[in-house]
Formats: sequence, C-alpha cells, structure tokens
Amino acid sequence: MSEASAAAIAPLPSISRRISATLRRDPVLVVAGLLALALLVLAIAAPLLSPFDPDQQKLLARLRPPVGFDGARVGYWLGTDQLGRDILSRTLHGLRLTLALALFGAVVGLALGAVVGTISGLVGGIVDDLAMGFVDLVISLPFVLVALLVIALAGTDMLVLIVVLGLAYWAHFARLIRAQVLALRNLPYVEAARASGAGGLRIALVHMAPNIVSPVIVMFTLNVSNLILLESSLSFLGLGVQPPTATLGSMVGQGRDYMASAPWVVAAPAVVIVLVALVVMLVGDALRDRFDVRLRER
Amino acid sequence: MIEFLAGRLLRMTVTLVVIVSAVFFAVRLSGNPVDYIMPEGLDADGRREMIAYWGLDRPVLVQFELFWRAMFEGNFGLGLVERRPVAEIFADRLWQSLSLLVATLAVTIVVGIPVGIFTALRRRTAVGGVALLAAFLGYAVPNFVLAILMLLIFSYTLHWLPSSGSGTLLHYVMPTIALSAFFVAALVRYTRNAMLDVLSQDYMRTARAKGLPERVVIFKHGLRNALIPVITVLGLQMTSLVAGAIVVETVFAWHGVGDLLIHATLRRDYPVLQFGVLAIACAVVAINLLVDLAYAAIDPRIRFGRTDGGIA
Repeated sequence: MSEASAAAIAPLPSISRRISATLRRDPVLVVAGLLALALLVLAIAAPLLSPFDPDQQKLLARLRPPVGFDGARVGYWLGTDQLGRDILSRTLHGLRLTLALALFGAVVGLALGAVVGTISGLVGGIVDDLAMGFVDLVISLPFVLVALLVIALAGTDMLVLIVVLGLAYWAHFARLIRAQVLALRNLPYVEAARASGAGGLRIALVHMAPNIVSPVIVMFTLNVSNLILLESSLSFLGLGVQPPTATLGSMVGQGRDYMASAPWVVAAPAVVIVLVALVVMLVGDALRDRFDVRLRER
Repeated sequence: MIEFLAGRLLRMTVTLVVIVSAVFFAVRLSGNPVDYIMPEGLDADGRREMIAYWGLDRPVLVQFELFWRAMFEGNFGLGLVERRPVAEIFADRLWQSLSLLVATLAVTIVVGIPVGIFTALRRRTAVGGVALLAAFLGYAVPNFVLAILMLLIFSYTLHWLPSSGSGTLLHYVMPTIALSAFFVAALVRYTRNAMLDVLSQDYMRTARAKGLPERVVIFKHGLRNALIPVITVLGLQMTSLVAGAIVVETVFAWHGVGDLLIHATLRRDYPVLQFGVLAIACAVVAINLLVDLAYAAIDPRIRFGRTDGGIA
C-alpha cells in the first residue's frame, strides 16, 4: 500500500513516453531489442507454433521444396528435409534449443567467473596471483582445444555441452568481476560496511553486486551471441547436440550433403543463425555504448 | 629487456607445464585410457594385458614421470586410425594448414587495415558507412554459414570454384574468404577505432601545423601510432584463428590439422587429439611470446616496465 502511494506522489513518465525517448536516443537498441524479444517469443512458443512434430519422419515426402515451388506439399511451409521432417517445425525447435543452451552456458560461465573473480578480488595476495595467472593462461589458449578434449572424453551429452559452453568464457567473467571488485573494494561506503561488521559474503552480495551489474549485463549479452555461434559450430561439426534432436547448427551440418539439389534444407536454419547472432550482438553493442561513456560521440 | 624476456620465458614454461599436466590428468580422470586406445570388443584378459603393456597399472605419479620422459624423447604414440606415429601424421598435414593460415593473414592485413583507415577518414560518408556495416556483418556471420553460402553460389550454381579438396590456387579462394571474413571485420573495427583515437591527438595537429603534407601526417604520424594496439589485438585473435581454421577445413575437406582434429574427436583417436592439443597450444603460446616481444620492441614504455602510459 505504501509503495502504491509513493508511486502516486512521484509519478513516473508514462511508458509510451519513456519508450519514445529511448527510441530517439538509441534507435539501434530499441529495434534490436524488439527483434530479440520476437525471437525469444518464437523460441518459447515453438511447440505451439510448429505445425508438426519436429522429429516426425515422412519418407514419402522427402526433400520437398518450400511453398511456392514445384512439388511443394501443403502445410509444409518451408519444405521438408532428407527424412521428410518439417523444416519450419525443426527450425523453431532448433532456435529454442540453441537459445536455451547459449543462455544456460552463459549463466554457468557467469556463476563460475563470479565466484573466482569475487574471491580473487576480495582475498587478494597469493590467491589473487594464482587465480589470475590461471585466468590469463586460459584466455590465451584457443578454447576449441579444451572443447574437443572434453567432448572426446565425456561424450556429447546435453549436460556436457552446457558445461563446455560454460567453460568457454568463465575466465573473461572472472577477470571483469575481479577488476570491478578491486575498484570498489576501497571505496568509503564499502569500508563503512566493513567497519560496521559486515562479512565478506554480505559485502559481495549486498554492497558490491548492485554496482557491477551493468558491465556484467553487457558482457553477458555479448557472451550469449558468442555462445550461439560456438554451439552452432559444434553442432554443425557433429560434436554438439546429437540427431535426431534439431539445433540450428546440426540442421545446417546434416543438410549440407543435400545442398546441391535441396538448398532450402540449410537455408532456413542458416538464416536464423545469422539473424539471432546479429540481433543479440547488436543489443550487446548498443548496451555497451550506452554504459561505456568513453565510446560516446563516435 | 633481458629481465622482460626472462619473465616471459618463465611464464611460457609454466604455461606449457600446466597444459601438459592438465591433458595428462584429464585423460586419467575420465576413465582408463586403454579404453580409448583399444579396439572395441576387447575381452577382459586382453584389456588387462594392454593395461600392463602401457604401464597403466602403475602409480599415477610414476605414469606422470613416464609421460614426460616419453614427450622429451619425442615419442607421442601411434594414431589409432592411421597406424603411424602421430607426429608424422601431423607433419603431413601441417603444410596444408600453414598455407591456408598465411593466405588468411595476408588477406586480413591487406584488406583490413586499408579499409579500417578509410572508414576512419571518411567517417560521415555513405561509402564509409557501407564498409562499416559490411564489417559488422562479417563479425556476426559464422564462418560455416558463410562457407555454405559460398558453396551454394560459386560451386553448385555457377560452377566456378571447386567445392572441396586442395591443390590448385582456385581451391584456396573460398576457404580463405570464409576464414578471413571475421578477422578482416575485426581488423577494420580495431584499425578504425585506433585511427580515430590517434587523429584527435595533439601531435597530429602539430604535424599539420608544421606544414607537412596530409599524406605524411596520416601515414607517418597517424598510422604508425595507430598500428601499435592493432598488432596486439591481431596477436590475441590467434585463438579465434585456430578455432575458425578447424571449422573451415572441415567444411571444405581441406586436409589440414583442423580437419584431422575433428575426425580424431569424432573417432576418439585419442593419441592424435592429445598431440594436436599440445602442439597447437605450444604454437599459440610461442606466438603470444612473439607478439609480446614485437610489442615491446615497438613501444619502449613496455620494455621498461611502465604500462601506464595511456596505451591500453
């Protein structure tokens, strides 16, 4: 009740006015944000929007072209693949899985990086030196080697894939968060919290976390787009999600053999990969420009 | 300078020891390596015999010592698919990969830096904007999608270029473009930003005020200073180059190291994969060292241990 009355006392500008203000200042962010939202809705609603079961094969209707071409089959808007599966349904489900894996992977990476970065920054000393030495080492090596090794040893389980995606950027998160923690550590308000008896965990979560959210959000967004590409590449190579489950990368990878006669099999997932990666990257770039004052006026 | 070099060499050694040890323990943590090395359907007696043969029944630390000793003797085992020493299998494919990397680096530098300068100097023109947009696309389009697209157009539709394999110069066209697109885009962006930073510096105004021709101002005073951060960034992109090469080689059936690694992973050809990881990691570490040295040679602030001079 008190919250409601507080809002009544100091009314916020109306939503439409705030949107139009943001639109004027940051048109790229708004357009890319809306596109990202649309893709997210498509991904979440994939089971409702798909006309067919994505794994259902129909061998009598193999490699049919999309609607509008000779030999198209009614109801299969984007045609069928080499096993007679509906490409529209598979693309929607593939988008869903690809986005989910990239988001999970980014969350795992963020969690790992946050733990290492925070401890490293707060404890300092030899712990910090060792942790950051390891982080530098990890960042300087091609991650794809680690990925290949893990996949060869642990197989291509979905869980393994999430771990691999999480391992891809944890060191970047750790470095960023440590730098932020170091910058905040000696500020008067953190010192005041420490003087009033707050423990390390409380300081990290209550006093520091809110102040490092914006650079972390930027990095998280850019990470999601990188992970979408990484997951797609791995699935494309046959090292990611295993058939028959569809991801965008595996659809392109498996459709590749039929490309000369049936280009539509790879076209839909390929276009969606580019679109998703581009949109998420645009959002990340726009957010970074917004938060990083140094990049303004360019 | 000697102190700097010694520090870097020490760090490189530590890095390599950590990598080799990590590979060793990763293999043993995930089960008995004999299961990767042996053909399927081996009975229990045969398995035990092989474990004893490879010394896998000894204490882990003894194995660790043997592992290092074998490495120093240059004995990395035999590939499971091609029954030959893994170093030999690699040597056969190294040339293919290196020639692709050299072509890619050449295209990246020859296209990326001039376009980057151009977009910085022609900031508010349509052509500059288009070039920048193209660079952004190059950044976002994954290399395998680009490769597939080119295959569709130039091989299957127009029949201008061969779709796979290697040998003639024509074979290089699509793999090189697919691999370099990302790096050209990255280099355009970095060169542009670095040029923009430099263009607003006081010494540029001084150079113009001295009455130097614009060409000399831009290229001698501007570009030279702008290239310092660009070189570092190019060095850091080495890791992406390795990842990109692996994908592109697979798409075009380019018989290089990347293609070999993917097949080794798919077939669990463990000795080949292990050697590949170690060899590439070593190469990358060595390149990082070279980039550091080049950087130090260009910029005295680093050589003398002062990195706070506003470079980053």
